[in-house]
Amino acid sequence: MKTSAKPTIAIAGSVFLLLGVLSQPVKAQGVIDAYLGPSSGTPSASTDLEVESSVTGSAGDYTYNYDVINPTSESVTSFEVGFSASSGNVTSISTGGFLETGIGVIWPSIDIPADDESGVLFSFTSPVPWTMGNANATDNTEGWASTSPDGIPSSDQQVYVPSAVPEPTTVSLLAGGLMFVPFRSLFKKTRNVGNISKI
Amino acid sequence: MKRYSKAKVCMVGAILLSGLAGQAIRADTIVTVESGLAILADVNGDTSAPEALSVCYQVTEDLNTDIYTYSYDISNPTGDQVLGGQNTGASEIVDTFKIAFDADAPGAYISGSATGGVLGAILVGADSNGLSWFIPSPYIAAGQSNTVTFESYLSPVAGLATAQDANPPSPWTSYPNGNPVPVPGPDATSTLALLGGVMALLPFGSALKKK
Repeated sequence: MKTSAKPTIAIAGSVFLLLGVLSQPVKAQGVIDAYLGPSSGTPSASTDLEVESSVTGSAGDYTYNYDVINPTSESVTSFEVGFSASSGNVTSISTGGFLETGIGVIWPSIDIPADDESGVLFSFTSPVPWTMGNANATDNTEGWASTSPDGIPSSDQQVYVPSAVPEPTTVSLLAGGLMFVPFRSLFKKTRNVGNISKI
Repeated sequence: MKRYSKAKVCMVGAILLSGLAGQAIRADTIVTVESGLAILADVNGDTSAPEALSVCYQVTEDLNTDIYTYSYDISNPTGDQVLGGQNTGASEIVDTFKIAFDADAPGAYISGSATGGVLGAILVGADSNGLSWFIPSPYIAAGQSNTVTFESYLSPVAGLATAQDANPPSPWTSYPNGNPVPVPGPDATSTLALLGGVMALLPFGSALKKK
């Protein structure tokens, strides 16, 4: 009976080790710049919005940050990021922001004056790790977007957003659970053998 | 390429709306000053359905009070889809609508007069940038529309509008590929009257000097 317990302990140890490794604090994602092109059709360094996005925190507890820098002559009055948002992958949002299920997160009433930057970060927390997604913003007279064909550079300029895939620790928990299934059968068999030998 | 041909429908709607508003108050005091259809092009410059939005607008004036009522019916065409990102292929919505004018100017926006239509759009901004509405869930879904209104003492001039969703091909704009919408403008009548008054006084100024 002693021998049958050893693999169980070994596997349990391995699973805990695996979980421990996966749960290590992750290095925060450094700031990346995205340049949202204008809808006005006149792209230049002074007409594109710059969005500095970053991710801080550790596995299962990330914070997504966006700092909007406005070099244009317009005031930016709303800002949105698009992804498959839900109450499961967005746990809290900075002041003025709204979760839009299946759509993203919006700050509909902001005021980033011309030739200024947001200063206060637009942010939200999420248990889900990052991927890249689209952002856009508007003034009352024009808009800016990651996918604007008029942006500089012309390729899509994306920001960090939560991915739609489950957190690795969830996967590893599931894997861990599945790994125990064969041993449960083995344990049952061993127990039966023990019972037979008693008879 | 499905082209918008809603102008007639828009005009009929405007006439009906005008009629209803007139009945509610006094039919002979409400006049339609301006009405029509504007296209808000998507970020790719597409001005055709289903990716572009249409705005059916109307401005009426109450001759008794000199108050103008501006209304905008924002229509998101059936089949409008997200084009890019995690939500690619999903049905596109509209969650924000804005018009640009100096709402801080005297008489430009009558405070508290904004309405949000059946979807309960919320006025979230009224300042020198203009007026901004946030349309909460269920937003303006593809195939749906919502009307927002406000009142002003100023007559209409051509202005710009924008609308937004989190996903491309948002945002949608009047400029450079779409069409303008009416917004309250500087009170040209009073400016002209002032100018006329000054001009009228000039001869008297000369006469005074001669004496």
